[in-house]
Amino acid sequence: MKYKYKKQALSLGQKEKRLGLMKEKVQTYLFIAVVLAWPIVQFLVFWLYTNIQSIMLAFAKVDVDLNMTFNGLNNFKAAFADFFSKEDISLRRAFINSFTRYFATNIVTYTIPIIFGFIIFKKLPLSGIARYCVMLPSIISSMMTSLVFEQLVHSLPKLFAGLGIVVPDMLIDPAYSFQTMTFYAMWTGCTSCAIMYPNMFNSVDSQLHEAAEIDGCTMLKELWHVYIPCIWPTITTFVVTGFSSILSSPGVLFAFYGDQAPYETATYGYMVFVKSKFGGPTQYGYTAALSLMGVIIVYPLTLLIKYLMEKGDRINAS
Amino acid sequence: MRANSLTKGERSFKRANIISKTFFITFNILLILYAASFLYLVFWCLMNSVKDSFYAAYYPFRLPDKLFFSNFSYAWSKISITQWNGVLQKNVTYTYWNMFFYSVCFSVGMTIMSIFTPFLAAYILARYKFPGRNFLFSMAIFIMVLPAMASLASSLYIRKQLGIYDNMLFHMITAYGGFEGNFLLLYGVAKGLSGDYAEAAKMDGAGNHTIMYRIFLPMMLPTMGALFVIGFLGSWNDYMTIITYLPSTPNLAYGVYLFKENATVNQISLPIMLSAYLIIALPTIIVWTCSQKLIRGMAVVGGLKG
Repeated sequence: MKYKYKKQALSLGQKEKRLGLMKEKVQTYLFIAVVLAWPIVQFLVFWLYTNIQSIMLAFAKVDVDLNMTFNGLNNFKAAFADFFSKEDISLRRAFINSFTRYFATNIVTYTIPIIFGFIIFKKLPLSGIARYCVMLPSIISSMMTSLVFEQLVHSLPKLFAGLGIVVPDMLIDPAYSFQTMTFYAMWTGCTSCAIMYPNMFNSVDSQLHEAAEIDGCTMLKELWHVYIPCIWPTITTFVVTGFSSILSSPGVLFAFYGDQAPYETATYGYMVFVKSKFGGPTQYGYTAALSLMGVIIVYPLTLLIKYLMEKGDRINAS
Repeated sequence: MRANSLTKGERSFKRANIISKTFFITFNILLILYAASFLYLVFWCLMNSVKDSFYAAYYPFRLPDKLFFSNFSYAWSKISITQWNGVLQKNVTYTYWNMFFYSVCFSVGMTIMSIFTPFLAAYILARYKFPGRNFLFSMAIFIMVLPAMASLASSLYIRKQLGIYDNMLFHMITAYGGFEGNFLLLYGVAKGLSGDYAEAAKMDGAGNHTIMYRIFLPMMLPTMGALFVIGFLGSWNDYMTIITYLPSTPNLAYGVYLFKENATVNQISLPIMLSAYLIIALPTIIVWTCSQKLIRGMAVVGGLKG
């Protein structure tokens, strides 16, 4: 009898415990649902629905009152016709420009900041002051940076004329405007060395650095064999997310040319931006088709870049 | 023989050391030159902002012969724009203080939302196990890898349809998703934090909300603070979002953009324009200078693997 009573009490306790655990679990799930509600709603409306709408717009005609009517493949036909047009090569040129500028700029802006960041992290001479100054383009308005750059480029012909050398105005001359813009993107694109990379290096386990030092590693070997492999996943994130916006980012052109950039220097993202914003609702279908074409091209390439970058991961490569 | 091989090893180490030192000395010099180019940029702006209009136009790279500090007060009085307000359906004149107010609201609001919304998603995904967690994480990675689609045209379309186009408050709330932008970084930080404090708090009877807001949020604040500074600087100078989505609430960056665009029509000279740029850059320079320690303490982690 005593035993039975004890057993009953134990099972009651177990029941209570189980009930308590269940209550806690329900509370936790409720908490998760409440906290995640806004991010999920935001995702559903402003990402998923926007992108579905974007696909629908590519097959639609929109009037000034935002009424949508089915337009079949006409937007794509128009986009293809513009892309392969013999008279107007601007879209084709913009497409090529996007890739050329991306690779030319990013070879510099993904590698140099790592080295600069390591110098700042190691606190080599004057690197502290350099760190402060390098962020200036992000602090001051890009309009100011572009204006100074513009003035400098415009004054080059005058400066060189004194030496008897003929130098064209590289922002106006179509033969040089693209290269000049690419150089500008490189110049202002290395600022990540001031914050991101030194802080990433700081997150690396200091024991690894000590072990490398004991093994007689030089600073260069330390960077290459210890620090870069440790921060590789974050570098991969930068490269992959950067590449995914190759055909959608308007870039730096707006600060120089407004919506009137010459076609020699325009990029695909810039053209889509200008047509979407300044072309009015009637252009929405056409620009949506242009963007969808861009996604179809860029997405597999992004996956390829991600795959290659992950293959290059010396610590976590599977 | 042994001594010989040791010398060989030493020699190769010495060579590697020289290469390493040369490499870093070269890049250290390059970094200083790179930084100096930006310092010169500010110096050039300062130098030309106090020049006479004609002198600045003819000799933009010479030191000023006379200092015209009045350019700043003139620029201050000229930083105002009159433009069509789509909400009020009439032309409105925006003074410096109107635009300053919009700048503060826009920068603070946008930056807080760009950190807080991803924080919600990142914290839950990093600290809790629940059905659908892996799916949500994969979805976040997918969003980041998938190119930003035709979002501009459709985003404009949807916002106009919902009646939230040209509305700063709604734009702030809806602009940043929980699974984009700062999500990966905050996820990495939340995952890396020790759970000991949370366990102790739980034993003391703390609920999920208390653990989230009173234990983990303060621990993530240094990173979030640094992200706030970076985001604030970016938003302060952002005129593209204003042009695209919020034309009726012009901020200072947009004001300066129009200042430059209409310089010829309004007969605004280079020194006046530069003075206006410097006036607008002042708050961001102060924020950047004051936040050096915070920025240095920020942890940066986050890979695309689940």
